Amino acid sequence: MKKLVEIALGILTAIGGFVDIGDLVASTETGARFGLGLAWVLVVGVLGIIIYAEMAGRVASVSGRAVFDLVRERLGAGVGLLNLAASFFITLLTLAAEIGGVALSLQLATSVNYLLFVPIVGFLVWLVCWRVRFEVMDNAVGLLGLALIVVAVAVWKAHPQWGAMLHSATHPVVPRTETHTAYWYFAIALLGSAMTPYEVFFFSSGAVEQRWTRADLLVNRLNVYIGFPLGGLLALVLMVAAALVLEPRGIDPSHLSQAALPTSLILGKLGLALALLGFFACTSGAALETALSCGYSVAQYFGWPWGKLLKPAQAPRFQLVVLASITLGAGLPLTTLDPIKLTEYAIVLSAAALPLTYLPLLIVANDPAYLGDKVNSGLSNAIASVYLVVLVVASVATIPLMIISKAGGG
Amino acid sequence: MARRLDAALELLDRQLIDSDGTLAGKVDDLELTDPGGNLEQPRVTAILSGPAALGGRLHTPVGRWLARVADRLLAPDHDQLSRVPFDQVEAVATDIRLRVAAGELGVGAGEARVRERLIGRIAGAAMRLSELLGAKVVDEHGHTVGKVHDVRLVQEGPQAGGVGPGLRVEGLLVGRRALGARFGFDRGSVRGPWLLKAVFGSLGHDGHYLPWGRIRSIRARQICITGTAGDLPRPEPLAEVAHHREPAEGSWRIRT
Repeated sequence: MKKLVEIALGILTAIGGFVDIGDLVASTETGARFGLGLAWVLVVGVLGIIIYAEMAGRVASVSGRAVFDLVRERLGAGVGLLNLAASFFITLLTLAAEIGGVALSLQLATSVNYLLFVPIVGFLVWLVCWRVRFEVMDNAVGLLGLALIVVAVAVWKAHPQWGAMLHSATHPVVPRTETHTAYWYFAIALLGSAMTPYEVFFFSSGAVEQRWTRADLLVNRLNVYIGFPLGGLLALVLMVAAALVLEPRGIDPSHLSQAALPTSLILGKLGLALALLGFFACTSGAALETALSCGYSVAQYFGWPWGKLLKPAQAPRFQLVVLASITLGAGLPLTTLDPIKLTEYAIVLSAAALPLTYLPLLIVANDPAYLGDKVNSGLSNAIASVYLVVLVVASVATIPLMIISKAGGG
Repeated sequence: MARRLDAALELLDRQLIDSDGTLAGKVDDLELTDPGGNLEQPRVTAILSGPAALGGRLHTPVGRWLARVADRLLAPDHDQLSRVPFDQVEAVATDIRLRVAAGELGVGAGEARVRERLIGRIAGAAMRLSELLGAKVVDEHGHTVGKVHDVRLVQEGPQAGGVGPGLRVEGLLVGRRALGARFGFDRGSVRGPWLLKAVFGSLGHDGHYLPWGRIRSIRARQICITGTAGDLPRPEPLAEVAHHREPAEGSWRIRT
C-alpha cells in the first residue's frame, strides 16, 4: 500500500514537475503563432525526454552514478570541464528564467511589479534549498502544479472542433504569415522546452540521493512512462488553448499573462486563479530544481559531497554553488532583462547543449561494467540512436537558425 | 589469473568514497613510482586528488583557467584529499572505496604544495599518470608510432602479509586515434548502439600495445622505444570485469 502511494505520488509530481517556464512560454507562443502546426514537436520532445530520463534513472539505480559523474568518467577531465561550463551556464540561464517566471506569476496575482518580487523569490528559493526536506519540497510543488489541469478544462469547455484540430496537428503547415526559418527555430525551442537538461540532472541526482536500487527500476519506469507523457499532455493543452484563443485574434504573446488569457476568457476568475496557481507552482518547482541542478553538476564533476539529504555543513561547497547560482539567477532578471526573452534563449540553448550529456549517458547505458544485465535493449538503442541523430542535427542547426530567423522574429 | 585494467578508462576521473561513505573527490591523477629509478615497471603508489592535480591534466589554456577559477572560488576544505597512498584503497568498482576517513588523510596546504612539487619534478623516481597519457611514442628510426591513450595496469599476485602497492604498470596502449577507446568501445562487452559502435569503433582500431620493457627513455612527453611500430603487438581486449555498486559481488579488491 505504502509502495502504491509512493508510486502514485511519484507519477503525480512527474506530471506537475514536467511543465516549467520553458513549456509555458514555448507552448503558448507556438500555439499563438503556428496553431497546432508544431504539435508534433511536443510528441517528439516528450518521447525524447522519456528515453533520456529512463536511461539516467536506470544508470543511477543500478550503478549509483548521477549524470555528471558519467560525463566526466566518459569524456575525461578536459572535455568534461568544457561540458560542465556549458551545461552550468544554460542551467543558470534557466534558473534566472524560472525566478523571473515566479515573479511574473506573482505580478499577475497582485499587480505589483515583478521586479520587486525577484529578490524575495530568490531568497525563498535559497531558504527552501537550505532547509526543507527533499520529499516535502518535491511533492508540494509537484502537486500544486496539477492546478494547470484547469487549462484542459477550459479547452474542453470551449467545445473545439476536435476533428479539425487533429487534422491540423497531423498535417502541419507553415502559416502564410510566418517564415520557414522561424518555424524551425520554434521547433527547436519546443524541443528544448520538453527536453531540458536540468530535468535529467535533477531526476538522476534525486534517484542517487534517495538510494534507488535495482528494486526501484519499476518505479523509475512508471514515473517516466506515465508521468512524463501526462506532463507533456499539459504542455500540449497549453498550446491548444493558445491556438484556440490567441491565434484567431492575432495575439503574439510577449507576456506571461497571455498564457493565462484563454483560461480566464473561458472559465472566468476562478479559472484564472487556478491557472496562476499552476504557473506559480510550476515555475517555483523548476526554480528549486534548476538551483539544485547547478550545485549537482559542479559537485559531481569535482567529486564533492552533494545533496539535499546531507546537512549543509556536510556539503559546504555544494551549498555554496547553489547559493551563488541563486544569487546570479536572481540578479539576471533584476537587470530588467525580459524574463520571457530569457526563457526563449534558455530553451533554445538547452536544445543545442543536449548532445553533450545525452551522448555520455547513452554510452554508459550500454556498458555492462556499470549496468550488468540492465544495459539498453536493442529496441531502446534503436530509438536512442535515432534521437542522437535528431539532437545532433538540432544542435548544429540552432545557432544558424537563430541568426537567420532573428531569434524567431515576431 | 592476474587481473588487468586500463588506468584512464577504469580509474581516472572516478569518484572516491571514504570509509565513512563520504564523497571525497575524484581520482584526478595517479602517482607512479619506479622502484629503482631505472625504467622498471612502475607501481601505482598513490591517488592524487584536488584542483592542483586536476589542473596539471588540463593542457589547454581554457582548461587551466577554469581549474584555477574553480580553485580560487572554492578553496579546498578539510575533506579535500590531496594524496591518498594506494594501500589505503579498499576496492575498485565504478567508484573507488578507501579504507580511511577523508579527514585522517587531510594534508596541510604547505605540505601539499611541497608534495606537488616533488611529485611533479623528480623524474625517474615518481611520475604522474597524466605525464604518460598523451605522450608521443617514437620508434628507433625516429618514426612516430602514435600517442599514449591508456596505461595498462596489472594486479600483483596476493602478497601474504606483504605491504605494498597492488597495481603495477605493465605497458602502454598507443595509437593515433583514441576516441573509441576513451569511450570504452574497444571492449567486446560493450555491444553499444550500432550507430556509436560504427562511428567510434572504427576510430579506435589502430592501436598498438607497448610492453613496458620496450621503452628506452621517457622525457618531455616523448617516449622512445626499441624496435619499430611494426613489431608491436595489438592490444588484447581486457577480460570483462563486472563491477557494480555492491562491492561484495562484482568489484575486485585491491590486495595489499
